[in-house]
Amino acid sequence: MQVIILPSAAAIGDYAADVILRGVAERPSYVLGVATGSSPLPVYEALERRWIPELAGISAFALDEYVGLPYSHPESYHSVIDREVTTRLRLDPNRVHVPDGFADDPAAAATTYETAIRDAGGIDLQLLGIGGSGHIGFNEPTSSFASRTRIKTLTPGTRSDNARFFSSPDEVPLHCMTQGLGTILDARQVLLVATGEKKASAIARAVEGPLTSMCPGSALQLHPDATVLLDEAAASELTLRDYYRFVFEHRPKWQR
Amino acid sequence: MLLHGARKLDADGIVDDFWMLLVGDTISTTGTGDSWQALAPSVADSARFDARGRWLTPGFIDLHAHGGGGASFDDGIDAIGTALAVHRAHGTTRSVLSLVTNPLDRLAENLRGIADLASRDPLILGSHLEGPFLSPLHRGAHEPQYLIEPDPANVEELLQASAGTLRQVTIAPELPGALDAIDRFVNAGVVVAVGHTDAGLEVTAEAFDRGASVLTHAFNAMRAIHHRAPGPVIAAFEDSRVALELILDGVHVHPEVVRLAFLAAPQRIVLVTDAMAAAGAPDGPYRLGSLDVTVAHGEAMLSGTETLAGSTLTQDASLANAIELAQIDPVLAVRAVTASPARALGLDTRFGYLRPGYAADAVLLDEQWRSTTVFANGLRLV
Repeated sequence: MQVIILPSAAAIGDYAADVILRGVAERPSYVLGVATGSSPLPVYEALERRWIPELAGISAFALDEYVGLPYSHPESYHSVIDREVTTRLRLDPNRVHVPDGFADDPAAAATTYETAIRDAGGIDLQLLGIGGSGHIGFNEPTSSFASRTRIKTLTPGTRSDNARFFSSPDEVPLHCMTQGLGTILDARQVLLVATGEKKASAIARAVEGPLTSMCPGSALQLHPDATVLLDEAAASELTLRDYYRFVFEHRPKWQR
Repeated sequence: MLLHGARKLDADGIVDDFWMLLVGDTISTTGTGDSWQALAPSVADSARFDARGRWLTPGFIDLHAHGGGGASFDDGIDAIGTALAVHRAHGTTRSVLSLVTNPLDRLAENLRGIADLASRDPLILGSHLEGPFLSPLHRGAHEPQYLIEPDPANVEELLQASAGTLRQVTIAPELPGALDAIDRFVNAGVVVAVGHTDAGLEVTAEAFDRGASVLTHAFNAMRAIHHRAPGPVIAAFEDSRVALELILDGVHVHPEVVRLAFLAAPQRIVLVTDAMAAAGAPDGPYRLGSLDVTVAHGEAMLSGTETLAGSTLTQDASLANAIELAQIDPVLAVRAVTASPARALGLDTRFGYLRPGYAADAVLLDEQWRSTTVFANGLRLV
């Protein structure tokens, strides 16, 4: 795992945007895994700021969606992705996919989503944030490392974290459909972004802790090409901070 | 057509000894050095162009011009042809034709005329209504008695007349009904620009949130930047969805302020000419819409006043001014007449770069940034 500590959210956004655009240059039919939440916003901002046409041909797959929330609801991830990603990055809406959490048969819809990812050629780069519980996507603690897209129950903690987006805590759906940890590990490249002190503990457990389903983010230790982009605050509980800086400063050209 | 040996300059950067093959209306292949010779057997000698010693840029795109060569876009087909010929000779390969404020029926008639022309001439990207929905307080060279509010009936009449070719409209967002008009225009696929406005930061930001995405000739005909009242320019600096038009003739905006704008929003500056009829024509008396304009030393002002009334720029001159007068990096400067205006119109997957698959629009320029040869839609214009 490559751990990179950068001075600001803006620097993280620019670094990630460069990685993504290098990938798109090599593969115009690039498939980007996109995430909701506040962590990836600097990445979208950096891409938006470039004012370039490169993303017009790419496809995108979102990580997750609430179950039973109409897509017209402003907090459905269909709406959020449309607002924060599709519109701002000017992606082709026909090539942006979000799990079908409102389907009559969610189990079948989850399988269909896995098939759609495979049919698109797999995900080239998966953007991730991390929750306070260590969750990635909506894969809450004790999620299987082999899990695929499926229905999960949100933890009370996640529901209360997300309550600020709804008019009352009860309005937060109980269930979600999320790519599994196995799905995420299939992405060719993974880029996890975290900023702020509140993420420091989850980052320390995911990056330096034991491989455990109690911290779903630790699954990334199994990924051959995972990069973690952090600001100082999010990196503050890591033991090997100086080592990560040393590695970054001495990266050979081919690793950049 | 095969152009080779040029020094390519576009938003992607500078490439020496660059070549590109134009097939039909599209750039089909690009490369460097003499690798083009592998293609040579399929290209007749007469279709090869040795561009050594020249800059090669994408064709320029002007979002905002009113005329040139003594003629105005408000004055019918022949006048449009005369004016476009001047700008095309100076590298503008795709044009949005701007109309100044006039009575509504006159504007509708002009829009119909441009719709007809645009259906036949792919180099015309459509029309830009710079009026009549402007603030009387910042009317510039727009006839005050024809300024009206953007009520739904007026908006519909103009949209209908344009038959889908209205590309851009400038609105003062503080006018009654303006925000709803922005919704309507954006839904119709029209790029909405904020301009000739008394709006401050908040109202301008609200207009951008409603979908407006251009600031018409930033700094001119609007509130200035003030440290306690930031105004519309700061609202545009802050919003990465928004393009800022700049008139870079050394008169409308001081070169140091141009530098500030490029620092604040390097990718989002669009150099427009806002040229009136005197561009590419002598000093003297002119008309702009229904107003008298006097041009002296290339500066156009409403007669008897010190109100600027458009410029006499061409886009190669804007580019030269950006690089030499304002000391802007050439890659950013050329972006501001190519990729950025294309992006502002949502057309940057087809225009604004010298890449395979893009429109075969290109300009050759000499060391002084004067355009010497122009290709548009695959054909040599000059």
